[in-house]
Amino acid sequence: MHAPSKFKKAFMAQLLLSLRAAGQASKSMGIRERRDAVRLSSDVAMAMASAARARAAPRSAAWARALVARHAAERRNEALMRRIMGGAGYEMAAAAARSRKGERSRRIVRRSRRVCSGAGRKRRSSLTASGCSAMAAARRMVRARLQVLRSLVPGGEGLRGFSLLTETLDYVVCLRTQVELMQCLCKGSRPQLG
Amino acid sequence: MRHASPPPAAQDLPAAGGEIQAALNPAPASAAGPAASSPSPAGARRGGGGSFTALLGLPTSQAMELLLPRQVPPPPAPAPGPAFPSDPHLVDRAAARFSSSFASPPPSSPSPPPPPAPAAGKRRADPAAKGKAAAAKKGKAAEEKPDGEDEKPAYVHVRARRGQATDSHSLAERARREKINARMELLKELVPGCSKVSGTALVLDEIINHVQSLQRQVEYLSMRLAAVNPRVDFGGLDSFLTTECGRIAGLNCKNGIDLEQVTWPEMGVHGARHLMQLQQQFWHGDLAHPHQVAPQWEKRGDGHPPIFSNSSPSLFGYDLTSSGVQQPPPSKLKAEL
Repeated sequence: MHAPSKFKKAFMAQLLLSLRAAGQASKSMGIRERRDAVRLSSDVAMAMASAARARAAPRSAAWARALVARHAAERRNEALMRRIMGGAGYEMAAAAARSRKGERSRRIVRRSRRVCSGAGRKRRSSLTASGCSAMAAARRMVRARLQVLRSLVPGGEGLRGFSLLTETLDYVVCLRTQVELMQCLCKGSRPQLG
Repeated sequence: MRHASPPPAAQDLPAAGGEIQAALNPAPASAAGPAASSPSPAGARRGGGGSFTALLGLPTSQAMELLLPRQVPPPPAPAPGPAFPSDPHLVDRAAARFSSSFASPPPSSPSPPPPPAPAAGKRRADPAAKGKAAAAKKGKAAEEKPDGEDEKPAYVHVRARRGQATDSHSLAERARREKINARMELLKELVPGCSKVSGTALVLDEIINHVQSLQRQVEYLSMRLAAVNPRVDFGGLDSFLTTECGRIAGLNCKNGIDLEQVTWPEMGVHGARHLMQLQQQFWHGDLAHPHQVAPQWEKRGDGHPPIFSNSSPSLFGYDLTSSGVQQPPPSKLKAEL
């Protein structure tokens, strides 16, 4: 399964623009900082390209927004992100990063509600556990995996079940495209050096 | 992603169903004037006012019931249901008798303006009722069918097998599970080496591994890209990509706007301008360091790079015209796209 070439083209253009911005920004940087800059710019490029696609064909790209917000949450990224996304775009991203705190508190409330109303649930699960513990174990395993997946997909912390899988699907496709394009860049830039 | 794209759209359907209905229906309903935009009770009342003759199809007692409360509170037109508590009941009852279409707006979503199906239905039934009072029955039969069609996307059909529970909660739960399973299937197809394993936990393991490996690969590749050209800071990369980037941006110059608008819708025009600025900096940057670029041009056998003479407005034009000349070098990159 591959991403459509139109998306790839848009992604590539975005990637080149942001890499160039990163290159201008990182005149005097160590290799590690430069790597972070490249990483950041490629991530932002991916997020912007995928958000463009999401806008063209209505689908959710919550992970893109969360990814940009996560990067914008760090102060040291500010200058570079301003370069890449423009001032207004960065302001939006920073605002989104700030508002994630509110989301967290909402999540706490939801969880506490679940705990409070979980008496019947516990009884039921114990009932099934007495019947077939294998099934309960399988369910526990699945829950643990979903938790890991939630931590891997940006913005996945608040998602459950179906929407988490949808986001994962989109994210995996975009990640794959990102890897492909970056490989292509590596390959392409080498002959220029030599 | 090619076959991944339909399912999300299909999943959005239930939410968008109302809008689709609203988009489909107003064609006849917009002729009915303000009734199209108002919520159903008021809309029914106003629509009823327009199709007064439709009442002829009803028995007299019901028609009077419908008529009387309408004369009692005259002004409260724009207010939705709560303004007159007794009215919607009557209207609903009459409407339930008139046609079953009032049940069609999904009960779970009261906030979006419910599809103006009732008003449209009345409007549609109107000519028939004008012709003959008896024809109202035929109009009713005719309007039930399209409403039934409209109703379909609002509900997910779940079939209960023998011995399965049929109450609404278990049906909803089963529908949810089926949706999740469909997504799982797609992911299984996407992630390599996942089609062999069975069991949700193992599939999730594979997916997690895949995502982690991809993220690690991105890390590694960005390290490599950063190490590729430490001295010139992507200078070589830049000039190599100049044509490619310009070409892509030239191709996408229409798309450039929505490409930039994306993440944060407010960016809008500013984003487009920003893109243009970037482009200009880009070219002017090359102007500032011609010695960096010159070898590249010569290497390409492109003796007269016309950018230097061109100003920015004709930038895209240049790219489009001369992209044929520069095809050989970027085609390496292009072939992989």
